[in-house]
Amino acid sequence: MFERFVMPLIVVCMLLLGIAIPSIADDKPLYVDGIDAGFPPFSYIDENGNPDGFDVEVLKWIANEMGFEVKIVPVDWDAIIPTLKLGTIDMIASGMTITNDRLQQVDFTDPYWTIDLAVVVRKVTNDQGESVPELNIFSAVAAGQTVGVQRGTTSQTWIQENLIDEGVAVNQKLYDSFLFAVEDLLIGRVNAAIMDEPTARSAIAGRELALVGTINTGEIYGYAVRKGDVTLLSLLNEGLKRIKATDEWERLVEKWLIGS
Amino acid sequence: MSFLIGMMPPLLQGFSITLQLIVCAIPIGLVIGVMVAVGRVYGGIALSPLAWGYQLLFRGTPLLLQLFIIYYGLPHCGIVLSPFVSAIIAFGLCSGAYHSEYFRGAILSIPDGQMNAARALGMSKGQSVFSVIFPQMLRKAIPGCTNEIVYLIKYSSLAYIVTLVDLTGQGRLIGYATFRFFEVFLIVGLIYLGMVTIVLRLLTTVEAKVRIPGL
Amino acid sequence: MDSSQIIALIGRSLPALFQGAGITVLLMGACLGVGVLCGIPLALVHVYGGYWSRSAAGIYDRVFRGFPALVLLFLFYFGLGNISGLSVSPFVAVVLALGLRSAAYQAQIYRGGMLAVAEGQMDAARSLGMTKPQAICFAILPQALYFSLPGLANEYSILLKDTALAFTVGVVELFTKGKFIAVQTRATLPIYLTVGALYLLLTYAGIFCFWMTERLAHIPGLGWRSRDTER
Repeated sequence: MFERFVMPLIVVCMLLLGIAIPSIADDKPLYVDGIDAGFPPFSYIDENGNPDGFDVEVLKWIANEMGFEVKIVPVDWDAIIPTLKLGTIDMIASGMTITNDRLQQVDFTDPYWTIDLAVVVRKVTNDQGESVPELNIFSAVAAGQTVGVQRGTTSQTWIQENLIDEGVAVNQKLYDSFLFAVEDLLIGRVNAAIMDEPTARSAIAGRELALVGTINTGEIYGYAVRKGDVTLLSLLNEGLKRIKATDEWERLVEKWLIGS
Repeated sequence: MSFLIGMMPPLLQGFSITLQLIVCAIPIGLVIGVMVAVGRVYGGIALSPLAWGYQLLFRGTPLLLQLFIIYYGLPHCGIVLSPFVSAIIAFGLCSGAYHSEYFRGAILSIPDGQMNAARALGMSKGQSVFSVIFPQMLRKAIPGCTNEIVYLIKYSSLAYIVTLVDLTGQGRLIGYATFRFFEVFLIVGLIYLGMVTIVLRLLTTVEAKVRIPGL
Repeated sequence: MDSSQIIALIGRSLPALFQGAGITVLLMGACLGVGVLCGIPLALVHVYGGYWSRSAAGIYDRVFRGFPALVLLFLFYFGLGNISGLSVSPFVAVVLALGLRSAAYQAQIYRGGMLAVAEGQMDAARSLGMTKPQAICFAILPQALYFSLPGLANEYSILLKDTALAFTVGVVELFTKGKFIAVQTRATLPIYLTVGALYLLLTYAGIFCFWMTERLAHIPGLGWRSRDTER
């Protein structure tokens, strides 16, 4: 009995635990970066399954410069901070806004970019045959409107705090990724979508959508690490400082963040 | 303790969505199941392969994928459904495929003599199926269909994919915000277990009550 | 997009999808393995256990068959980290959650298989001088496992579809790969239908393997090929 069942069970458990133990790099330390798989232009997984985007390229440069290996993995966005805390990933470099709530859970690097939120609506054809936005920024967030946002983002918090809590009854719909919110906007199930401005510009490209206004939240992006992880934090901060002083920074900003 | 109490309002909100989903999806699944089973057994050259194909498709692909195709894919063909309708259709179609197998097995276990006797008495094929086969089929399929209904109750937790924040969805939101996953999901799991137990008890009683002596 | 463009797109995405399918198959294998290794002892307890062990097995059964798969995934990935400071990798969390859940279902299948073995077998084995454990191992189990093969094929297909949930705890498998591609290329229907076709392929290839095993493991005198002459 023992030999037939318990021993194989023990062996299988040991093999499974073997998968769980992270691989030990020989010379360079390896850090795992968690990204939102659908957050262009900052981080996304392209058609071939490879991570790409502004944050991805910057991080690879920093890793190269500061002498560590980085592995980039996609993570469900609203689970990303718990995943960081669990240790499956070591940092988040994915267009993450520094907020007070988040500061209670994680440590952030120095800011590296600033954005506002943008409101996106559908385009319709008016009487003159022109393609115009269906709603303006005020009617887009008026009471009774259906607005789509990504779960776990500052857009969701903004709507909650500035509209719903203030008594403006908008119908907020939560999506795994803002790209799905945009899909639903095109389909017609929501009438507006709110997201970070650079991502809004990326989303409306080539689609019948219009950016009708920005919400000046003046948010700042930073990389997140576990609380107390000073080694990685200083590596990233130093790396950010160095890349900002080079032409590479200008080139990447030009490539990803300027213009639509 | 106060944390647990604070969890209850949003969880109850989610629970009500779950209940609505289940109550709507179960009948759809059962009706589709009966239709597909009858189509497969009595359908002949035209309907039988169609029914077989339907079973193949909906039992061979993940429910998650089916939800995605119905919610995000159909609009590309011009069919736009609300999240709730998409969910109950997806659950109903998937569940119906499994129910149809149980109904089909029940029909096949009815002795051929029953059908022959009914026809010999002058009933048309439709009358025989409806008055003789159905009552027996429905009773024989109860254990299998009960099993499938239990599956549906648990798989309703996929509704978050189409923006419906059900019981599990609320649990996730609370978990992400407070990081106290173990407590939240233990409670959520126990609520599902409660639902499943109640449904099992109910259906077992129904099975006993409608049993035909000698069958 | 016209049809030739769509076909080209599907062709380009196949490598990534196959990669995802590979992870799915790996997950499947590990989960099934855990299911078999834990399911057989569990079934033995259900059928032959004493009062307390059967009650314990009953609780295991209620938890793992009553909790939704999604809830179990979260409990094993985030919940374990909460209560014990022990954190498992996402892959291991999926294998544990879905595997142990499969074990609960498989235990029911094996139990059915054991009960389907003719009563006389146990008596015959004991009368030949085998102890109860020996009788179970050499006489009952082989037949029970053979009878369980159809049920196992069913469990395999259910497990395969459950692996689609793995991304909620961070494992990128076939469905998630498809999701990434569909979202980037905006070609929703063609990609998801391709993913569906791949799942159908995996499901029925697996069921075919089980069917072949049934034929190869066929015990003469039992089952579909010859009439059972046991009295």
